[in-house]
Amino acid sequence: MSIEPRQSTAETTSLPAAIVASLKGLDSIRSIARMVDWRSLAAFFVPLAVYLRTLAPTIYNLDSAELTTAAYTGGLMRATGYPLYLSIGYLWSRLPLGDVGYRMNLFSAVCGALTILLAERILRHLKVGNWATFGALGLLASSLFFWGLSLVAEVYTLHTALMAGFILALLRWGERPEPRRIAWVGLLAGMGLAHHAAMALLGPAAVLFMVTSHPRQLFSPRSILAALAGLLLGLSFYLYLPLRFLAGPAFNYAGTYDASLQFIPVNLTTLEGLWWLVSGQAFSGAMMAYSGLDLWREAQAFLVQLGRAFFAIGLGPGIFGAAVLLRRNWRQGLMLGLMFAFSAGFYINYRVMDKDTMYLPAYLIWALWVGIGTQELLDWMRQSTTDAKHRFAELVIKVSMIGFVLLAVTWNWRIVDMSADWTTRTRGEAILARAETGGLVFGWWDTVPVVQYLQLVEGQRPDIKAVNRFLISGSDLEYVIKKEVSNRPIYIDSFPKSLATKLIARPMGPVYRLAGRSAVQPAATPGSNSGAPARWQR
Amino acid sequence: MKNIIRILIAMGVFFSGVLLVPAMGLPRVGFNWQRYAGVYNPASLEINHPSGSPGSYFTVTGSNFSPETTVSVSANGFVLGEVDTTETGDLLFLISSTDADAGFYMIEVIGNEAAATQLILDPDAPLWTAEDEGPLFSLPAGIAQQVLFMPVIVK
Repeated sequence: MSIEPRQSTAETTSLPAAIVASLKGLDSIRSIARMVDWRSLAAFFVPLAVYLRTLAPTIYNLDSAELTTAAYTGGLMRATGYPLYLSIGYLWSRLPLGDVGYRMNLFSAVCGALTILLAERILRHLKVGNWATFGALGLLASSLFFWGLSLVAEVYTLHTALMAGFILALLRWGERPEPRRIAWVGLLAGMGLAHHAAMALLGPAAVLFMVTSHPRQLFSPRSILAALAGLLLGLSFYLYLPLRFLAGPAFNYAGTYDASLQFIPVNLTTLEGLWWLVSGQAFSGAMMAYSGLDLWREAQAFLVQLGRAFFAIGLGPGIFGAAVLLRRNWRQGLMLGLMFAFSAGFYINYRVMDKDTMYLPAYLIWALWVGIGTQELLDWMRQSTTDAKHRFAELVIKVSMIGFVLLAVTWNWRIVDMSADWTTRTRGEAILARAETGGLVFGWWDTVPVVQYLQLVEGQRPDIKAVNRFLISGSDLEYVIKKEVSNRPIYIDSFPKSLATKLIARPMGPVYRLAGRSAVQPAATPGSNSGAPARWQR
Repeated sequence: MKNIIRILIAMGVFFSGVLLVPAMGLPRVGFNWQRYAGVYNPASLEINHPSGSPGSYFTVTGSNFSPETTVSVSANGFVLGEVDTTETGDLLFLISSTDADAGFYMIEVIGNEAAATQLILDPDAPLWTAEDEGPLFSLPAGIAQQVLFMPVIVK
């Protein structure tokens, strides 16, 4: 495309040189503007701008604090290890922007926006126009959990970005099955697995798509080599785990504490240890946990969640889009259908309390269906007639799409906005400010990871030892407390009822300070001064 | 006419989800750490009085259940009804023993998690009036368990 100014020399010679230069500049800008892909730019930067405006300003709690601390210190996480996230996070957390917590929150926002960009490329590949794309991806980007998980350090938006890239790579290979393209499929599959084991849920659909699309090209030696090379390159991020294990990182959640409070790390240089971590065996009891009526109830809860995520308006076009794609191209339709079913089905049948954060992969596929369905409806009406009725109906759908996206943004903004959320830092600093020298802090995910972040990332209170109760058995915890309570200050976030006869707990900021019953007056027992039954669990 | 029907069908498909809003509601609770902070704390039930005479009212409170779910309440395996948990996974209900027989009752709440507590209806125990407000379940007659305490002989 030419970027030369259109004015002739004859027309411009009479104008002052400065104006000529300005006009040339303007024309150049116009030419560049024509070359720029505004749709893709908008798909990335509009959600990013919203996410930046609502981003959590500092370290966030639960998994976020664990992920941030592990990424910055080159540490190790609990199952499933997340080696890709930790590798990228180690570099990303060095960016000179805000504190380390903010940087990793920003990483989620960028990954969220990248997901929307890649989903836009998928919809473009599937011949979905601007309006339908705007509606579908606007609803996805502003859905409560996709938005919320783009504002704090979490693994999910990187997972959806890799997943969108993987689907795009598969579709591009399906269009032209070249070895270079299958290498991308392999690379993204490997990187996806090295990030989140849930990527394996997409495997059967991807294999079926490739086998049914171009079996001859798929099994050609060049394709196999290219796919394997890409896959191995992606999987190479797993090396992070044994390499960091050998380095003995200060932050390690891949192991357990024993009754003498010694940390026993799982040996990640052995295949057995590595498999234990990456296969999520620590959580195997929660998998495939429902049956019968309970399973149906969970499925219903998911459907309600899905409907709310797409602000109800996305349900009809989503179902329609799935059917349209299946009819138009059964391989693509089946692939997305199986990916949706496996991703949603696994988490529907997963007995954890925070499962509603885990449905983002299913939402991503649903958004693609919404785009396809909306486009088909617009095309269908356009085919029917060219009269004013059609134009009016089309206008109603387009305006409704904009309206619902704006409504979703406005409605959800007040729910997800974390731009003023300092609660995690405040909680962690309150614990460290009150803890006496050499104290021992026991707590669950909302207590200990943030304390460790403040210690290991910001260098606060290295004299305190913080132990996540997830990493020590209940009996060992009680043993340690009984043994140490007379030797050093012990703090805990919720008091084990079994210790109530021997110890008392005095509220001290967000935690309790434990002491032997003989050492402290009984009046300090939590709840006893209110006349209400003692509530040990906060 | 055919074109109008086509347009109506397209509009119907597009807007069909909106009809479900009354049933499923709109988004209300988002992602925040306070909501999941108790994820590893087991669900538990507490009762305000462990025993009372028949005719008493008891308040049962629960915590650490899945937020915004419906859980089933039963006594000695007899289903009394259902109750909803709050946004923070708490619940509260009252039990009336007006029609119930004296004896032992195991109160169970089952949802994604399960927890239990117990109460004993004893004619010699105090009569408790209702101390809270909330969903009320009545213990029916004929489901009480009679507990027989055997003497323990120690050598």
